[in-house]
Amino acid sequence: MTNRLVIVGVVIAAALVITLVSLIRARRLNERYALLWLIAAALVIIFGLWPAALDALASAFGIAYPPSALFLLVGITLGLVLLDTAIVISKLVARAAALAQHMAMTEERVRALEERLGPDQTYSSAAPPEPGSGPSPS
Amino acid sequence: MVRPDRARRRVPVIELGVPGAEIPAHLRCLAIVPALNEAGAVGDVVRAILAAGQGRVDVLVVDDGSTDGTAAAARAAGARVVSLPFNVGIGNAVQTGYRVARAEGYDVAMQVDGDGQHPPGQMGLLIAEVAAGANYVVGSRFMRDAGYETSRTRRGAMVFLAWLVSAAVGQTVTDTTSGFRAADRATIELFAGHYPPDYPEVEALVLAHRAGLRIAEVPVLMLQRSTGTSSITPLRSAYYMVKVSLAVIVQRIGTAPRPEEPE
Repeated sequence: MTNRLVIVGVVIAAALVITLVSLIRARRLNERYALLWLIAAALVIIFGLWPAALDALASAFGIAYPPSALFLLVGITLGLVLLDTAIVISKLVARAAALAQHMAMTEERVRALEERLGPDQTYSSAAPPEPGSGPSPS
Repeated sequence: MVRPDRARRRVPVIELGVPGAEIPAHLRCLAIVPALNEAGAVGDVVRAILAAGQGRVDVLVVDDGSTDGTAAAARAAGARVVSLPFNVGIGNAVQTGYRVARAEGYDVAMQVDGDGQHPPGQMGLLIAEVAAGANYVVGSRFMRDAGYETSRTRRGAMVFLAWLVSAAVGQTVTDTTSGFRAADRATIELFAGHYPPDYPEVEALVLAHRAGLRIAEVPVLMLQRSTGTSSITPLRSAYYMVKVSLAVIVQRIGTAPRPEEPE
């Protein structure tokens, strides 16, 4: 029974690690955001290979029923992962808005400059340039 | 106006019979007009501001991702238009205006809604208060009894917000949700760096106070939104109250805003 439990734990942990590593290798997951998940995988491996650690942890925390300690640990880990995600999203939303503002302001300046230049000299009408007639716009 | 919904309000621009003060000639003013799908109203607003501005107020319409030709209508009426590529929310839209004001060295930035609720003829009252030394001036609907009527619930919510903000900034503020405001250079500088991204009116007052700026209110007459066009729901109003109250408290107890990230 215990051996089967160890096998199940190791298989789940291995699947998690393989998934994480392949995501990182494919550059679909930044290492920074994979860190918490890797810690979670490490916890699964530890308790999968060595279920006695769970009993030790439970008694250290004064938890009478060891599986409760596991739920606590899982809850804390998932909570941290979600909190980290929320922080990252907050930063990204602020940056997206700042980028949009910056782009809109720049676009307005370009429009004003083009109007000052006159209809024949806008950037788009200047391209493509005649060979050797001036610096390339790119 | 518990929850300003700028997309649905349609109020004709009518000058109320209140003499607005002259706009001081030595100040360069920029009127920031946030607009979301206001193609039908924004042109009149722009023309009214330009007319009331006596040639001393430039108009910048910040088009917050409209899909109805708001930008073209505003441009045709004589405004400069900054078009955001997607909807970023009213606070971020207004902040875009403050950023333009900072970049171009305007002395005063006015906020005027794009739906015609704010009477441009009374801009001078606010700008005169800035000229008299205030940093951030709010046009208040409630300083004198101008018959601005609203439901008892909303009235209660506004009284509560007025109490909360007055306590947070240590001075009496009667109209915390008015979006008709004038900002001097110090306030422009602050808001260009930090401005609340959504439901900004209430929170901005506390932000300005925390930055040591002097807030003032002047009485204005505003047009009432005609009934039936509101999309305010009890749930949204409740969310608004909780969000804004929390923002005021966080603003009050939070650390000072961090310096702007380099652009």
